[in-house]
Amino acid sequence: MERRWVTIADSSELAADGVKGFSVGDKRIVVVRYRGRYYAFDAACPHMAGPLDEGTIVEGRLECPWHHYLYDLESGENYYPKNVYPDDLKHTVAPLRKYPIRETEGKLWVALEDAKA
Amino acid sequence: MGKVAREVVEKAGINVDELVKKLVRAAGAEFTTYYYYTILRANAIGFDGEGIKEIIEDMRIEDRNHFEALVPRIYELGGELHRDIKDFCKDAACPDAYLPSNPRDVKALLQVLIEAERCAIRVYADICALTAGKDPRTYELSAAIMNEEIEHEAWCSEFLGEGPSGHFRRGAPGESPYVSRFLVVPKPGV
Repeated sequence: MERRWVTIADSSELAADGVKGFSVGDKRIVVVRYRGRYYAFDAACPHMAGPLDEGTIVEGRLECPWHHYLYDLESGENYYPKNVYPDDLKHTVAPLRKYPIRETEGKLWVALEDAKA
Repeated sequence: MGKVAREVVEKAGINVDELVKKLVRAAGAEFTTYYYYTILRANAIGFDGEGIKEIIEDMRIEDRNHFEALVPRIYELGGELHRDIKDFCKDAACPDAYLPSNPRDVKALLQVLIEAERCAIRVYADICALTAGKDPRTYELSAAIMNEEIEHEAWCSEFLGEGPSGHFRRGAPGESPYVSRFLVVPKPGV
């Protein structure tokens, strides 16, 4: 599928180590800026659709404000509770849907079409 | 509901409905943790397991105390517990603290405990941040609970060899040195 890059905001809108939500069409996307890098995910937590754009960064992971699940920024995989769930339950914790993101000339661009789980 | 009690919190600029949701989720986490810690304590056996049984029991009873202390504040603010306990558990602020696949793996058991305590600390840090300087009653309650959750984390951390907790044992199981003043149900014999 061909990538469709869309601009979502000026990069100055996102504070260092900040979390912010943006609406793109009917999508709600959360953008995280952490240690100078940007990450973009679906803003609805895969657990119970909690608002990740109201979340915080905890030790380099994105935390859902509702039930405090933690997700790895690089992979989008769940860290907690997956790290302590018994083996037969680990599969029940879904990863975040991640979007490619880049910064060009002060603008943040997200590729929507090739979103991958 | 305390009409004025809610009103003063609203006037202080807090979205009371959001605060109540956070308190209900926190209560759910304490309630489910009490349940799961009962299973963990029962499985803390053998040379290593018996060593951590005492702290699990303290944490277990104190988490129940946290639930008891939170409930009156939820109703004062016009909130309520879920009608269906399944919804209550599903909405708990922290994930379920399942018994590890190998129940005799004490390190894995401690990992479950410490992650649950760390989650709880984040839950109350969030509520404290929301209520600081605006809702003293909820703030003091949350801060008291957080004090105990921080001690719980430190006990687990000590057992995992991460460093000393600097604490000494409770005077009695589940003493709740910080939260007991919020409990509306007197302790037996008091």
